[in-house]
Amino acid sequence: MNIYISGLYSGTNPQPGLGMVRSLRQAFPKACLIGLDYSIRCSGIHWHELDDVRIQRPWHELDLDLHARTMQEMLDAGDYYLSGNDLEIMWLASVFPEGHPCLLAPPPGALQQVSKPAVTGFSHLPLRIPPYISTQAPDFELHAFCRRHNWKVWLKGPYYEAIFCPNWPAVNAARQLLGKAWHTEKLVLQAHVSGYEESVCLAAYRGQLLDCVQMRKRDLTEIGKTWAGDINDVVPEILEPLREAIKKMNWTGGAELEMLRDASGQRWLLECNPRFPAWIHGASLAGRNLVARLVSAASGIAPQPMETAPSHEFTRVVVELPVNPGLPLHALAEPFAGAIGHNMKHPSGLLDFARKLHHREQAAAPEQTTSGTFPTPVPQTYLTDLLATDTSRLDTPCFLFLKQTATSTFEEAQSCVQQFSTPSLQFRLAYSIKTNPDKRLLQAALQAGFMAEAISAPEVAAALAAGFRADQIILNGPGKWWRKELLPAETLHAVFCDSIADLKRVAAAIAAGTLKAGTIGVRLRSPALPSRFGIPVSEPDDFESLLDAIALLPQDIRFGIHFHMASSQIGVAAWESLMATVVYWCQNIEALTGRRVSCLDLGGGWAPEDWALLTSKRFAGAAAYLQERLPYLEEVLSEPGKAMAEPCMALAMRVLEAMPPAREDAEREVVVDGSVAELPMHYLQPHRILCQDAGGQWQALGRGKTNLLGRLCMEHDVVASQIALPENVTPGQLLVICDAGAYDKSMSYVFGNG
Amino acid sequence: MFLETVNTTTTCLTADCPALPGSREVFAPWVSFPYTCIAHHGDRCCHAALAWLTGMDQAQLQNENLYLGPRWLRARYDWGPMQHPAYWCEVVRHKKLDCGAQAAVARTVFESRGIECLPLQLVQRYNADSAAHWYGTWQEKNCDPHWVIGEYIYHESCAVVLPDGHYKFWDPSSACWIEPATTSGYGSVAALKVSTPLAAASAPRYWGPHLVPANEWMVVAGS
Repeated sequence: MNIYISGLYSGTNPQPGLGMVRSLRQAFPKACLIGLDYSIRCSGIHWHELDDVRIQRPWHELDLDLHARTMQEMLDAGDYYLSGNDLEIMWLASVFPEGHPCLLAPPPGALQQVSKPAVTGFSHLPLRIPPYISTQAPDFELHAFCRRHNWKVWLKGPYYEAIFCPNWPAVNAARQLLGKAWHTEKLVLQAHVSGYEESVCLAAYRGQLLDCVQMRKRDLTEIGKTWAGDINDVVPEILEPLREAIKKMNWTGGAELEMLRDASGQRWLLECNPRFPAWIHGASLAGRNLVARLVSAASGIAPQPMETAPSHEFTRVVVELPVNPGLPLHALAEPFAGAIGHNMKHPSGLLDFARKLHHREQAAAPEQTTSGTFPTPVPQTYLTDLLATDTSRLDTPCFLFLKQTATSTFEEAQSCVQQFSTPSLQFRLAYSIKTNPDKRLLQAALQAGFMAEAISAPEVAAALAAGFRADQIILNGPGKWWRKELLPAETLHAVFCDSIADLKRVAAAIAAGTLKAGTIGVRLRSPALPSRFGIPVSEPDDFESLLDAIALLPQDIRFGIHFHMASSQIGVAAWESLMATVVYWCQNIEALTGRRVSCLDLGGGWAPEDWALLTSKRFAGAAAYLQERLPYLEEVLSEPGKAMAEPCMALAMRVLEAMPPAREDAEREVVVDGSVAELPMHYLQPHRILCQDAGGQWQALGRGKTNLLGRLCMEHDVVASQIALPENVTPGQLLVICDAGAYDKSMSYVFGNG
Repeated sequence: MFLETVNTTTTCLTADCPALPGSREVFAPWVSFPYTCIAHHGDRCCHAALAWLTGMDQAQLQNENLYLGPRWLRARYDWGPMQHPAYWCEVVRHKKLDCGAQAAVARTVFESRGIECLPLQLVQRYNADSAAHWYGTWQEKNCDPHWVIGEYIYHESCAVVLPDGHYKFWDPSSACWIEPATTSGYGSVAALKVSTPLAAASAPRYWGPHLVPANEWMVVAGS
C-alpha cells in the first residue's frame, strides 16, 4: 500500500504531514509512506519513517494542469493521498469534483459548507460563531462593528492568518497586508472571544464518521499553536449532531473544528480545517489513531493493534534530525536590501498558490468589484446643506458648516433625552466646547436646550459670549482654573475636581464664598483603563483619601461624580460596563461617606451612531437602573461633543492632479489641495467622501483603488486610501470629506500655507 | 469523618488507602483545620477595604464573563507567608498573601459578582524537593510550616458553583483552574473538602468526574 502525504512543514507552526506519517507508521509498519512537498525547506521531509520523498516544484512555478494529471495517475494507480495543506485540498477538490476513492479529502460541496466564518455545515452543533462582518461592508459599518465589540477584533485571511486589531489604524494596516498577501478583498473581521482553546478532530470516509476525539490545548506556542494537549472522548452533545453533519456533507478525510470555551462553558466555533491537525499524532499516542482509521476504511486493510496508551496527554519537544543526504539543505534566501532577516515564511510558495487559485476562481465567477459598490450613504440633511452651498466660490481647502444638519442633530438629541427625564431624575445634555468651539455650534446647542461643558476659563467665557448663563455651565478637567480671572462671579451649574488637591481647594473656596456652584463633584479614574484624568482609586489608600476629602465638602451643596472614557475608543459594551462599575463605586462612596450622590456625569466621546443608539434604546432602562442603585440621584449629565459636532461640518478640497495608475491593477494617486493638517483624525476613523458628478449631484464614494494624497510634502500626508474616485476626475474637481466637524476641525493646524 | 469517610465515584479510602501510603499519619494534622477567614473590625476601615476590593474587581472584569477567574488578584498579591489573624483593612494592603488569605479574598470577589463560591481545602501531592523548599521558606520567615508533610501539602482554594450546578475549582494562589482529570503525580489533588454553610447547598456536586460531598473530606483517586 502506497500512501502519499503532503504538508510536511515542521516548524513552530507545523503542518500535519509529519504527524500523519508517524501515525500511519504506527498502524501500518509495512506500508510505503511517501512524502510529497513543494519545498525542500519543509523539514519533515527528513523524517526517518518516510520510505521516499517526492519534491515538486514550488507552487509559484508549478503548472497546475500538469500537476493535476500527475495526481490523477497516482490515484488511478491505487495510491492513497493525504493532504496536509488547506489550499491543496481546495485545489484537489476542483480537480476531482466527484472525488476519487483514493483521495482522502473532502468533496467541493463539503468544503463550501465549512468555509469560515459561517461554517454552515456544522450549524446544528451546540456551538456559537463569534460575530463577524465582511470587509466588503462600508468602512463606516466596519468601524461600528469594532466599537460594538470593544476593539477586540481579529482580521482574518481567507485561508490562514488572523491579525488582532485593537484600533482603526491596525484594521487598515492588517487589511492592506492580508489583502495583498492573499490577493482578495474578501476578508473577515471577527469579534474576539476569551476562553480556552479546544478542538474536535475527526476522521470520516464517504459520510461515515469513523472516529473523533476532543483535544484541549494545555500548552501553547507564542502564536497560540498547540504545544501540549489532552485527548478525550467528544462530549455527547456534540457527537451526535457531528455524525449527522458529516453524513450530510458526505465528508471524506480528516477535519478539525477549532473551538474556544468561554468562562461559562459555552463553546464557540472559530473555524473548521478540512484536514487532520498538526497535533494528530498526539491523539495516536493517546490510543486514538484517526489517520489509521481513515486509511483502513478506504483500503480495507486493518491497522496493527495498538498498545495501551501510557497517557491521554501529549506534549511536543524539539528534535534534531540528520538531513537526508539526497535532500541537502538549501541555501538561505538573501535578505532584501534594508530588510531584517531572511523572510522564510511560506517556503513552498503558498501565497502564489493562493493567487493562482484566486485567478482561477475569478475566471470562473468574477468577484464583484468593491469599486463604488458599497458607499456609505450620507444623511439627506448633508446633501441639502451642500446643495445650498455655492461650491463654485469655495476657497479650498475649507470647512463647510452644515447648518440644517447641525440644527437637527442638536434638536433631535435634546428631544430624545428629555423624554427620559422624570420629576425626580433629570437627564441633561451639555455640549463639550473643546470638541469644536465654533460659535455656530454653540448657538445650535444653546437653542436646542443644551448646557455647556468647559475645561478652562476661556471656554467658560466662550460659552457666556454665546449666550449661556453661568448656571448652564459645567466646569471640568485638570486645567479648569487656567486664566480663572475669566470665570464669572455667578453660580456655575457644576464643578468636578480632578485630584484630591483640587477637591480640597474647591472645598475651601466654596467655604470661603469665592466659588459658587450648584454641584461639586469628583471625577473618578477607572482602575482598569489607562487614563491620566480623575482621582485614582486603584490603591486602598487612594480610596481612603478620596473618602476623607469628600467629607470636607460643605453639607449644603450637592455632590456629584463624573467619569469619562470615550466609547468610540474603548467600545460601546466596555463603556456600559464602565458605567456600571462607576455606579458601584458611587454606591460605596455614598455608603461610606454619608454623602448623597445627587449628580452623575457620564462624560462624552461617543460616535454619532452610537450616541443615537444609546439615547434611543438605553437611556430608558438607564433611568430605572440608576434610580434603583442611587436613590438620591437627581440629575444625569451627558456631555456629547463628538456625537454632535462631527456630522455638522465637512471639509471641501479640490483635485490638483490626477495621475494615471502605473499598471492596470495598480492603485491610482490623486493629489488634492487638502491635507492631514485639516483632517487630523483621518487615520482614527473613516470619513464619508462625496464627489459631485457632471449633473451636480453628490455621490458617496465606496472603496476602490485611488489614494488621495495631500498637498503637504510629508510622507504621511495621505488624506484617504483606497477610495473609488471616478476615473474621469480632473484637476479642480471638488471633493467633500464629511464627518469632519469634531476633532478634525478643532485640532486642525496651519501647515504649508505660507 | 476524616479520610475513611469518603464519598466519591472514583475511589474510596479505607484506613490504609493504597494510593496514599501512610495516609493517616500524613493527613491527621489537617483533618480538623478550619478554612481561613479574614477578620473584620466592624468599622469604616474594613468596610472601605471590602468596597475597594469588590470595586476593583468590577473594574478589572471589564465586561467579561462573570465566571472568569480573578487573575488580577494574583498579579497584585504575591503568594507567601503571612501572620494570622488578619483584618480586611490590613489584608488588602499586604504585598504577600498565603493560600488561605488568597482564597478568602477570591471568594469574596466571586460572591460580589453574585456567584456562589465555597471554601475549598485541599491536600495536594508534590515531591520531596518542592516540599523541602516550601518548608525551608516558611521557617526562614519564622512561620509555621505545618502545611507541608512529606510530599504532601495542605492548600486552600475556591469551589465555584457553575450555572449547571457543577463545581469548578479556582486556585487563586496559582491563578488557574484546577484540573479535575489530574488525579496523580506532581501537583495532583489527593484529597479535598468543600465547606458549605447552608443546609440547602449541602448536596454533593460534581467536579469533573468526581462527586464531591459537602462538608466532608474526600480522597481523589490515584494520588
